Amino acid sequence: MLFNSRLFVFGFLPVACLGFHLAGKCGRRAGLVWLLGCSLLFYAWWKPVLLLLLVASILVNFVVGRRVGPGAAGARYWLLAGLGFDLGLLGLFKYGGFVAGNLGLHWGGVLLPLGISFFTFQQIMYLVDTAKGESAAAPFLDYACFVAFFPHLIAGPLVRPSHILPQLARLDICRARLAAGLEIFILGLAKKIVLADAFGRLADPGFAAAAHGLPLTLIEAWVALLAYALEIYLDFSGYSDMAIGLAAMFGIEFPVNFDSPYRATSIAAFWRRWNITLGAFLRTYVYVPLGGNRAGEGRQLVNLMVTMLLGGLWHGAAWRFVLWGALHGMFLAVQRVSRRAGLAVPLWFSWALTWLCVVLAWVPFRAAGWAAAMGFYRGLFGGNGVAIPVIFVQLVPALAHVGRVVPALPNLGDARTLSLPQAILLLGFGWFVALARPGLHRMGQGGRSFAVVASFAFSLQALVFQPFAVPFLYFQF
Amino acid sequence: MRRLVCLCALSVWLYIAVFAFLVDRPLSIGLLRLELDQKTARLARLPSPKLIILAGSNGPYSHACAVLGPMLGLPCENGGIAVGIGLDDLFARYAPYIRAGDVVYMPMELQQYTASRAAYRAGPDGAILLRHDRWLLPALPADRLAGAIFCCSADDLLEALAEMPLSHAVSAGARLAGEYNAAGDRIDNQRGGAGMARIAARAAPAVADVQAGYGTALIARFVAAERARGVIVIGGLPTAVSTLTLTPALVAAIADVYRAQGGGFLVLANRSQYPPVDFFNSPDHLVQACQYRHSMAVAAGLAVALGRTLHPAPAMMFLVAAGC
Repeated sequence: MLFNSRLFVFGFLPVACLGFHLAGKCGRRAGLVWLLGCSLLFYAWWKPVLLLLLVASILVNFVVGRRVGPGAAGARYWLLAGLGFDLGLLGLFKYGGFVAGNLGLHWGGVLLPLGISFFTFQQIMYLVDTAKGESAAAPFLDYACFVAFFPHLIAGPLVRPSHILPQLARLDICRARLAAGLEIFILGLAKKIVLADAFGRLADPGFAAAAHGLPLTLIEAWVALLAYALEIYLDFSGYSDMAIGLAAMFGIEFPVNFDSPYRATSIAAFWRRWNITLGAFLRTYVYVPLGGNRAGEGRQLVNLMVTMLLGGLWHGAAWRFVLWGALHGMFLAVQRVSRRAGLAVPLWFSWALTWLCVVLAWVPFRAAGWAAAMGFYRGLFGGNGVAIPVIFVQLVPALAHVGRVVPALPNLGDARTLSLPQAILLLGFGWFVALARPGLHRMGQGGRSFAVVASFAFSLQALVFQPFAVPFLYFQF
Repeated sequence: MRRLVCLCALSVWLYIAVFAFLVDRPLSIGLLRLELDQKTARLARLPSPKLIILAGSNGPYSHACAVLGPMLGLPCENGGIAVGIGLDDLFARYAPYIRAGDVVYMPMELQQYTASRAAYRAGPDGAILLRHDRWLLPALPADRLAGAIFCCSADDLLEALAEMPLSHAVSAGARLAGEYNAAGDRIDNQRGGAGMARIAARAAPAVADVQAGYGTALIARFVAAERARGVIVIGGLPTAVSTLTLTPALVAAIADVYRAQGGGFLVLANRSQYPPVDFFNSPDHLVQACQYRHSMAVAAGLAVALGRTLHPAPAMMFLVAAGC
């Protein structure tokens, strides 16, 4: 079930909320039972059989979690067994096909369970934190709600057990912030169905053309890339906002997951603003255990690269994600080395370079494969020339000398005469929002009210009158 | 919560006000509206009996009244506009000018049959109705009315912001005059003109989807109503890429939409299918040479179905068609 579907917004959510508040009158436990029931129904909606996997994963991790606490007999072995189980499950379902494919082996059509990366990482955090004594073993109902809580079950944010389990333990259903949560949900929904989906429609033709080996001209390639950079940001941050809003409606506070990442002035800062919870996970559970920055400069760079490679691979079982992770690892390493060398650049230059690196790195992330990515880069750097729609040449005749004049750009939007003016306006608006406006969680009451007025009717239009809900990009991860 | 509800209500109120009274899309929606008005006006002026081609853009791109009219000896109007313009709206606008003895040829695109009621609610004519033809709104069913009120996305607003200033530089009337002839045929579909050469066939719809489609029901209702008024209605297959698999069952299901209501159905020897290279900028739009050649084949089929004498195609058209 998608957060942006009519079924969820007009059916599941009101029923889940109403039931939760009614059950809450009978106490916290009744509220949690209702919440768990709703969450399991939410998960089972797509493929009921996959519910067995989720339940098995919860049960195994709960049992193991009881045995890994500090001082427990054989805690270390139980922890290794638990981590082995989680990573094995993830490897089997998510990476089995990838590994087999690279070894030239046949791999049956194993279905990728929805959200397996997220609920597995949640539980890895639980096991490790419990073993380190940073999180207390929780009662089963609390634990099951922590993992299966539907707002973050499918696509995060990844929430530390020590952040959410105490909230579940002292859950006061009467104090759930219904209106505040609903407002955040509405604004997150607008980010997704009003903005992100619009940028998706702009980005898809360009990447599809590259996938088919068609030559992208300069403007087509840049429009598609700039649109995709906004699409993935607004799609995922919209999802995260919706999750935060939903959690608030059920009395739970989730951490902020995006903080205007495209305004970052360094790659390290980008990762403190982009998918913040994943960045924190990678830092705490991969980078630091590898040795972090405690084992010399060379080792630190290796640790950075390994962490980012794994971060890339976490996004999907494909080499293009590995390449994306490698690019970010390389950017981080270069930044670290240049800082150590005392290289100082103006802040605006640092921002522009960071932005350019991040945006260019989205190419392999989105492209269908290596050849498509290279073809796309060729277009971005003018290798396929410049084509200019005739409507622009009519307005500014000098543009005829800049490139080939065409009736419409065939790989831009819906390839109409007005596709480019519309794309320029849409991109201008999107990048203004991304760069010049404060993020949702930094907005004051006035800013949020304005955003609701500006977006609600468009959200309603898209929700009710679009023929189908476009899935979130991060669902595939 | 009250504050949030008030903000949402204000948002909807502003939305309706903006799209009903303030912004417009003169170069896209405006062009469609102008086209609709021009075709309706010409239809009203043509003497009966006349031939009317009724479809989406497959009508004007792949059929030519300039060929069909002289060959059948009938005045002709190419009434197709675009897939997505609601057929209920189109039929309602044209019906007053279709008279007993007129011939309506309907090579409807396959997606017209399977269009859902939801797609109709979100059709582009909603914007025309809300901005310019609000007087028609009360006559629409409730869901179409809601669809018209919520006609526009954020993209549409930006499109309007791009089009409104450009409309002073680009005349919609002049643009239409460069795209259509006086009979409503598309004339800007010369080979290579679109700069796009990758035409792939659409997927054929399932027979069950055609039979259960909302569009099918609308077409059948129109055929029945026009037959009852003494209008000759003949369905046909739309032009399609030769790689499209048209099963006999699918063709029979489409023919049945017309025949079950007393209409005829014309199937050409090539089932209106042409190689990809014969298409202009979409798998529904033939290049002009093939548009003429196809129209000659349709004229021959219609002449037999109508029992009319088939005249030779105008020499100029014949020469152009030889390039297909």
